[in-house]
Amino acid sequence: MNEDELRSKLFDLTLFFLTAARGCVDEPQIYGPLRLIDGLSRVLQIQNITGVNDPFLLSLKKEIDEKKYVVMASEEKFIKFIDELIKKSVGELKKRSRKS
Amino acid sequence: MPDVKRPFDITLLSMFFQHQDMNVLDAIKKRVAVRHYESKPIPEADLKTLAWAAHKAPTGGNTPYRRVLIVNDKETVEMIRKVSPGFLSNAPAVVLIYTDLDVAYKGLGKLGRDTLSMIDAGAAAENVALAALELGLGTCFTKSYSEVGVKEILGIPENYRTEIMLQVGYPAKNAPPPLKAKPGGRITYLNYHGNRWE
Repeated sequence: MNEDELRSKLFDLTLFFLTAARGCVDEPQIYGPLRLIDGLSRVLQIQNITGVNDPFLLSLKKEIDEKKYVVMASEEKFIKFIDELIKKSVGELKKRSRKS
Repeated sequence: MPDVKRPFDITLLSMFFQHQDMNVLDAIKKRVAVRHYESKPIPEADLKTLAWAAHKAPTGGNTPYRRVLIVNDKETVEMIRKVSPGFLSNAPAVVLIYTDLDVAYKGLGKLGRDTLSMIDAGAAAENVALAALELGLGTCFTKSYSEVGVKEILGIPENYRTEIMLQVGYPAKNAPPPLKAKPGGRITYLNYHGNRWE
């Protein structure tokens, strides 16, 4: 793990969440969920530095990056997209719970 | 006006209207929000053309309150991106349109400072977006950024208000298709409100 890179990414995340928090005061309500979802993708990016590279989380990140812009076209589709991510994650949770 | 031999040069206006590859309506039709860019830098002459296009937009009462700031320094663009949750691309340059609030107020009062300058910034931004198309560039209007953060990074004094930022760059060749317009828009009426004109 590259500590300097991790420190740098954590600082970037700090800036992102701070400015996103301020933005949420004035921006459309649906942008709040968008920032959280985008923030999740940015958090998951840290896997590359730590070397964790969990296949499920990597696929989740890829899906977020590919589909997050749907919010610009349809709030309804964006909400469904989040629900799908939750369903997938709960499916994964069940698998992991059975293993442990 | 930048020294460029392009159809945007006002002395070549007639040529502009005869331009075979792109006309105004084509440009309007082709303008989309571009969110994936090549890393290729943009020639400074082209960035100057974008600034010129922004300044060609109207200002209320011909009041000179508009300011345009072009950012092409890699590190500065990166800093802006980091305080802009809506800056989701890898665009190599930024065009920021902002207002000198004192000049706006002195020239046009509250209306100029609080309304007209914003409207004019929108017109300037669209000019930039259309001029960019002519230069093979893509743009994305961005307002989801930290006003405080961007002003701090760029050294913009308190008496200025940022209006709109455009991400600018060469569109990536493998970019996903642009988003479709949300339904319920593009409503036109003829002569009186409610008389839909299809």
